[in-house]
Amino acid sequence: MGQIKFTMSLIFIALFTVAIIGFAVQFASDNGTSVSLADDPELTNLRGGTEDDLLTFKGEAKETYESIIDSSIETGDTTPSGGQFAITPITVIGIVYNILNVGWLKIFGGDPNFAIFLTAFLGVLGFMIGMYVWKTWRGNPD
Amino acid sequence: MYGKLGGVIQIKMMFLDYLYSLPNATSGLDAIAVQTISAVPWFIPLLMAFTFFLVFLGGIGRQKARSGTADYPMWSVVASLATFLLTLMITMLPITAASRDGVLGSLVVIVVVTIFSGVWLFLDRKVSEV
Repeated sequence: MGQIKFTMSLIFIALFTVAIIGFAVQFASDNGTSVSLADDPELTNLRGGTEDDLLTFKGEAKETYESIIDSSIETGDTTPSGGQFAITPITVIGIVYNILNVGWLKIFGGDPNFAIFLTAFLGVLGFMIGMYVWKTWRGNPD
Repeated sequence: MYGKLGGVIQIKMMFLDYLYSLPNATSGLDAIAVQTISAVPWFIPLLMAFTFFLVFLGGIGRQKARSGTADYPMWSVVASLATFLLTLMITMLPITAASRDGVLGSLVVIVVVTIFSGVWLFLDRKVSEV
């Protein structure tokens, strides 16, 4: 897994979340069911928030792409900064954090004793992002 | 129960003590389901758990028997989606107001489990996999 694959995985997680919640809400609307997922405010807000985050990702991905094609590397030189490789992946961490946080609260509630698992997992994701950005910019850190 | 004793037909009734009110089976399958859900609130969560583990463990077992290895995240997503669709079908029943919160809670849990299975699946893929 490289930076491209890792970023795509995080984006697919967001799209999967929007698709599942959207399908359940639309299913209830189309069939007039007695119980609808739209009655749950947290998941409804999560869907809207994730869609907004994906729109933000689109704008930042465009800026990242433009910054990369505007940069130039002289023969035998290296890029002085890895900033342009880091912008977009760091954004998607926030999207996945919101998804995991809402899901975590729905199953485990607000008990702080379990929160360390979520914190540790997000720390691992952040560490992986950092390593992949370094790998893309300067070479293999394995 | 019918029996003949001394030329006289005797009718013996057998009584069973049910622990719950029997559903009215003359009103159709949906009425049986709704009354069962009302009488036994844990019916839906247990049905969901049964469906999930039937697909999850069954899929893993058969894939391992055939190929020697199993794709756990993929079967988790398949089992979650199967349970998710079953729960959506249950929401189409004319659920009573008293049971509505329980069914909504079950639906929320399976949606979250499906999303978490998706997280597991997408972070598990190799570069060569979708």
